Amino acid sequence: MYEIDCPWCGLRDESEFHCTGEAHIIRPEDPYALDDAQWTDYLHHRSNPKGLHFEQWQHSSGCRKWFNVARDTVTYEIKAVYKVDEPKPAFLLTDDQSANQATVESSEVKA
Amino acid sequence: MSSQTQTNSKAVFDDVTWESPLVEAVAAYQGNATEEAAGVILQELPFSTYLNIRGDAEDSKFLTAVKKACGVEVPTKPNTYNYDEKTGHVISWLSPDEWLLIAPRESVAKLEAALRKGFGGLHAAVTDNSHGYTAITINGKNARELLAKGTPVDVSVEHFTTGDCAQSLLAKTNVLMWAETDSQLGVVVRRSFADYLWQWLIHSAQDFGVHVR
Amino acid sequence: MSQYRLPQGGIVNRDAPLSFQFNGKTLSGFAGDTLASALLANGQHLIGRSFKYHRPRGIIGQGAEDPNALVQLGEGSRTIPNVRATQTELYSGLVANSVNCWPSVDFDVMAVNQYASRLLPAGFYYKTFKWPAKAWHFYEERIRASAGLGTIPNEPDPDRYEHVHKHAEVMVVGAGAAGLAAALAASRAGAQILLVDDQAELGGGLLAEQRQINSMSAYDWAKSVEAELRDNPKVQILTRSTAIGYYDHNFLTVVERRHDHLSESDREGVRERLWKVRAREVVLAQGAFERPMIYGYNDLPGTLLAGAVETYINRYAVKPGNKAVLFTNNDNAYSSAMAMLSAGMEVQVVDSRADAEHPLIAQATAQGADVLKGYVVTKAKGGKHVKEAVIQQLTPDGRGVVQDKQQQEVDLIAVSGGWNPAVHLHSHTGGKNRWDDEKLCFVPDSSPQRQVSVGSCNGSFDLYESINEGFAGGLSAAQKLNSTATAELGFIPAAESETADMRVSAMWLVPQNTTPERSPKAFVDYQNDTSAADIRLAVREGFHSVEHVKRYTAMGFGTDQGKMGNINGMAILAEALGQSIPETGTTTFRPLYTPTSMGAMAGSNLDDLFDPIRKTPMHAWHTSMGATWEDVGQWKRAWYYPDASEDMHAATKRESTIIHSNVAVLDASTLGKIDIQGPDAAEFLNRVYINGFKLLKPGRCRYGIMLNDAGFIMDDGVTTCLGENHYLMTTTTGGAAAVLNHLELWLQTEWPELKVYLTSVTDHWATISVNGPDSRKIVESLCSDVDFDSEAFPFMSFQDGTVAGAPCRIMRISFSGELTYEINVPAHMARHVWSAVFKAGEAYQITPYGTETMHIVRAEKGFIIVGQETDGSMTAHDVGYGGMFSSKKEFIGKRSAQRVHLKSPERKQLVGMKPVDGKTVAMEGAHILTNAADVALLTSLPLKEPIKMDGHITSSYYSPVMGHPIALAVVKGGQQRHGEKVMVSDHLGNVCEMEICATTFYDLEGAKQR
Repeated sequence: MYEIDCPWCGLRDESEFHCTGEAHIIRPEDPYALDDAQWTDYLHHRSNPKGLHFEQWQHSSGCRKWFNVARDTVTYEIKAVYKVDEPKPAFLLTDDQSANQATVESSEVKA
Repeated sequence: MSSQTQTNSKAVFDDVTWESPLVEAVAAYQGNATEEAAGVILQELPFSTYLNIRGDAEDSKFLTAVKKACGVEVPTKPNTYNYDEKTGHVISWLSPDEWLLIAPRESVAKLEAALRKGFGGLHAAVTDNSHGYTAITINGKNARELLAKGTPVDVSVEHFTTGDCAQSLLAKTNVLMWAETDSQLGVVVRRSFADYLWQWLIHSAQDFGVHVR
Repeated sequence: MSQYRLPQGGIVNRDAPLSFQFNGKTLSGFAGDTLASALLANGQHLIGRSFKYHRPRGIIGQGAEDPNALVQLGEGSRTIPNVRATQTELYSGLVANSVNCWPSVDFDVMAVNQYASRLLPAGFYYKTFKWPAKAWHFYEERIRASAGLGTIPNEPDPDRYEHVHKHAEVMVVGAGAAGLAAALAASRAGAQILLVDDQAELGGGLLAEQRQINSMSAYDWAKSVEAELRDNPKVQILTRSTAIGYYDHNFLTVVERRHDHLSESDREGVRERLWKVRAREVVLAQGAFERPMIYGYNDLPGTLLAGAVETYINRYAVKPGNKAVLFTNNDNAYSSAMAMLSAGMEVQVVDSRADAEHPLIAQATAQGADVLKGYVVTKAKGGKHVKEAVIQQLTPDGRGVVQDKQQQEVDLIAVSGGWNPAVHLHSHTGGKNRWDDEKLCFVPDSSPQRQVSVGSCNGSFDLYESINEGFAGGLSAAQKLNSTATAELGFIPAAESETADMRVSAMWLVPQNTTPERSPKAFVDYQNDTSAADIRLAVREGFHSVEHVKRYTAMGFGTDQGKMGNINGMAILAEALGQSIPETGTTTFRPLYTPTSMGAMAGSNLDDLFDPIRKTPMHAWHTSMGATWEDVGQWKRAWYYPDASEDMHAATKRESTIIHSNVAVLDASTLGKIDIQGPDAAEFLNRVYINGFKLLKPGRCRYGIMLNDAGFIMDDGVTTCLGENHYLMTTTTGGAAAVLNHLELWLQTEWPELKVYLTSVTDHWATISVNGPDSRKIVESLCSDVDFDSEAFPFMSFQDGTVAGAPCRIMRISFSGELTYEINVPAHMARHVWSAVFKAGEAYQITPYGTETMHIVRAEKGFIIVGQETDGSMTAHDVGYGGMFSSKKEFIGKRSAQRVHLKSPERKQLVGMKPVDGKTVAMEGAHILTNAADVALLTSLPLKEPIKMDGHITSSYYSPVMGHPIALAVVKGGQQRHGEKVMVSDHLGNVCEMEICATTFYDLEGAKQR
């Protein structure tokens, strides 16, 4: 039974929360520019890492807000909790991942 | 335009009979202990005004508008409530952009109108949910132990004190709990879950000695 | 005084004799006894029979590790099977009986199995009853009847149970030397503490300890620490409480037993309390379990662990025998030897180590123990109790024994094969263990939790080392919470301990002159009769993983979960595989630590409290009208209202007829309602529904279909424009919470720029749906401030008005196809208005109807129910609502709905169905055959290949107003197949011919509802 640090309400028991899947799935700006295979990839294909995983959780029995959780799928440690509009915490990323994330963010700004 | 008769859970206002969700339960069982002997005293506080307020906590215009309309400061600290003794108005923090105003029954129309007027062009909202909730006070020396049987929140005196509130689970339903003093606590529960929660409270409090006021 | 109760010593209360029954015999013991110590005091070793061979089983241990001493405790509805006598406190009037024996433990018919044991190897049942496969069901019943330990009560459990949440800064598990020291340190450092221990009295091993601590007896030291802890209001102590599970993020469950030590008449309140503890820091001090020795017939009653013997003597003043052999491979056991000597027993020590040297050995020898070094016990002899120990010298390499045998007459064999730290809780959340080559045991290594293991559960077996380590562990836990906290132990328990540097040598399986297969059975799991030979057999048959061997041999599956013999078993496996013990590894330690009652798991979650029952304001009224109930989500909805003589068919026929002829009322309060406000509310609705909402004017209502992002229908309902930037959305009853979450998710994560606020008002409004040609007359009679003329108050609009004095919102929407006024009333006033409606309707034979009739009349109109006609894979096109798709806007699911396969005309589509014979009501879920001729195959089972199906019936009823049955179904390409006749078959083999038709049966133009 996890204990999760809701960014708004503080440390609360897992029973107050629901996990709603992988975080940072970027919805395509123009869905119609994608073929069916690409669109299906957006809809359904999720990563399933052994180790660090980024997830969306909702504090469903509390403030009802969604937020992001960086969780280790092996040890079940929660490495970070951050707001839904914030990027992956830099301290958890390798240099490559950080560079990659920066690229994604700048392309979002352009779009 | 005043109340004519009032029992705890059934009353007539303006020729219309009101029934709280606990109208049958409160009448059916008064507990297994006298008020003096009971470790837990339960009482329904029916028919209050419940206004759900949404707005931007960072916007001073919003905060001022609420204060002006209902006389209570908006609590911006999570899991706290503000109470105004003069009006009996309470505002509880629910989320960073959501609060629950609890007030006497009579003031619903006036408060709703005052809030709407105060909000003007702001992106803020008020929703009347007065009939969607009821409140139960849980008093007595075992009140906190009773809550601890059902909620994962730490409700010990050290961690849940006067002015604190928390939305969480109690048994298997969502509630808003509040702490008034060491031995006076309470919950706000949705109407349709109220009977279930009441039965759970009665069941779980029986070994403390429970009295229904 | 029995011959086995010592005249003095121990901490039992000799002033409080207690009488109890075992197998019908009345015996006596003292307060402070366990059932096991009391039985031993009465000379009763034989307790039960083993699972497979029905061999005699006696008390072997002193606590949770004992797999043998299982009894059926109590009688009637409170009887509990397989309770460990070693953990059962004696109380006056206790009644216990042996398990797994018939007719009695002394004469057990099934004991014949032990003489056939060569024919019953590991996997015997799998191998023997495999052919023919069909016959397994026959054999299974008979095997199960002869197996099983104990009996469960036939009656409901009369006791109550409950759960309690607890938050602790420091939780200490175990109140032995290390645990007490840890709690002492943490409390002196100012932390808030929860200390739990599974025994009645704090102290653990100190209760049987003869050495001194801090210049006082170990017992007095334990009491002094307890007194200090109890004096501190920040310390909570739970006794008779076992930490049974350690879960993520320092969440532990503890079961507190409040009744089982009391006579039935003294029991009050809840029997067991399950504590759900969240601790900031955890100190594990659970102690260690002694290992047995694995030699021939090591399971005979009269065989006890050496440490248990010491406890029985020192704590309970009971000697388990008079003439003993103590068989050991370690120095620790010599303290047991001295306890036995002090109790006046004769002791022959058999030490497998030729080179054993330790001060304790010298002490024991000085006190009169005869010590044989380099010898082993190869076999025990006896029927229901040990009579002889066969002792042989090890060969110099230690891998065999010389031929010469000594036979020693004994009534007790005390065994010590070394100690296993209780790493169970440490391991529950994935904590790693490390093999210690010197201590010959697994010790705790890293853990993902904020915890520390101290004392013997950390492999620190020396008493004084344990206290120091416990104190340091408790202090460091407190310091993690408050870095400036300090605490002093106040004394140094011992600078140099005489019990320090204790050694152990490996002796996992005693060598024999014969091959293991030809040797007398040497048991590893006493409860399941798993022998060393069974483990070797498993290896020969190809099972190499420890987890597979466990499942093949049943080793560790007993109620002790392998606490007694598993490490020996793994070592024997390692040897058979020619690999090391760490390479072989352990099986997984999982919660629960000890067997736990179902009651503790359930708590108060029973009967009406099992799941919330949501009630509408009219619930009591429905009850008084004799309504039957349908569960919709957590709601109770009135299903139908039968008269005394009516079944469901008759009741719904009456209810649905009167809707069409007069007027009938439905409690629709359970529908989800979401208040939507904000300048972007219309845009938001446009994005979540497939049809347009921007042009919806204040006062008007519109039906909408909502898709999920994958393009499938997730909900439907009517949304009303209450005013500028203010809407009220209704959802299905079951979908309310999911829809609100879906909308919030999109608002919070994808569209944070939209200025919209959502609030559930489901409970605020009650809905009284008045349906039928007379509905207007009734509502009009109760409401004088609304113009009911259909020009002023048209279909799909609403008016605010006062109904029977209550401020209401009246909506002209219809789910019955008839003229309908839905009165939405603030819920506290709902009963008032509901009663007024029925009073006003008396002249029109107004009738309540429930969800079953609601289903019938909406099916007559072809209205879908999300979740009945749809199943998460239906699109709006599939149900015939493709025309609602707006091409002018983007909305959730739009892109997905354009995927090629979602547009296929061959998809299953919603159609109506009528039976060709005009009479048969098809079963919901019945299949529609692709080829009508396949009907013939249904009678020639078994099928050679699956019959092809085109779809299934989703709704099916008899329609009184139509005079024939109607159905809705999803059929491949169904929208192009109206008029076609198909065969329909259900799972009971009923077959009927039906004609595909349009989904609307009644009032095709929709004039009535307008």
